[in-house]
Amino acid sequence: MNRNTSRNFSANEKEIALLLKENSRWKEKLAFFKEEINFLNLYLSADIFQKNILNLYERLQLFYDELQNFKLGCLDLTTRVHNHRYDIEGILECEDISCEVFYHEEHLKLKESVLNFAREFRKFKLEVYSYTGRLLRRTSKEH
Amino acid sequence: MENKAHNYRYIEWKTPDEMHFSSLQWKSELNFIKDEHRFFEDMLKEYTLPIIESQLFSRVKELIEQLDLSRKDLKLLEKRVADHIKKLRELLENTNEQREGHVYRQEHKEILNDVTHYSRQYKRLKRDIFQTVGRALKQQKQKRLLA
Repeated sequence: MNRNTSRNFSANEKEIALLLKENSRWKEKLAFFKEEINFLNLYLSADIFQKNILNLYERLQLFYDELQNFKLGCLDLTTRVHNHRYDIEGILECEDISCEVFYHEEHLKLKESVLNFAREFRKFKLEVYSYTGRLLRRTSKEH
Repeated sequence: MENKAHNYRYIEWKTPDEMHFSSLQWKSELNFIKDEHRFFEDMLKEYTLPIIESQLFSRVKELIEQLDLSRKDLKLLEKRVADHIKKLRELLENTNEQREGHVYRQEHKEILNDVTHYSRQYKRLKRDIFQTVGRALKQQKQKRLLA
């Protein structure tokens, strides 16, 4: 199919293309967070840590519980990001400025939520790494 | 894999303050990766039992080598980002000079391109580590249940 790539896009269309691009980046980011969450789920519940560590299981349980919250948060954000795509496309149908402003503000709010999630999740991962990294059991005889 | 250079035209409008801010974000991202490297390396090198049992040893060896290369690349990138930050800071502090920053825009573009490329490659490596260690953990769990 021959596509006319030299078509001129309006300022609004260009802006919408940028918003959609940002939306796709969030989607990709969240999909990767989901993979990381799945791995950490497996890691935290595996029998791989030294045995006689004070409060080890309590700490692991706390991490595990927190991870479930991240899992839910990630799922919620993924749905919101997915639905927001339709809002962005809907901007073209806005008949007044206040409608456009509304959707732009929604975009900024969602951006802040994604960034905030990324920040919190990074903090959580660092805590898991620094606590569990030194407690891995090296051999089957190690307790 | 080839590092496809992007044009990043929007950088033409970035002020030195904005470039400085972005560079600090890169620094923070690279610092995090450094910590993560250490964790993955410990996990792959020290946590040997399920890996040997699951016969994934050669695959893990490859991953350790890749992690090592990734760490070397990170070191170089960190140095470039740190130098760039230093130059931008000097530019921001020097009130006598015009704060155009066009001299550093090309450098900013190049580093942005390399940071993006590095992050993509690192994500692929992480995915491979998750898959391999995940498999070992699952096999270990199954063995325990059957024992």
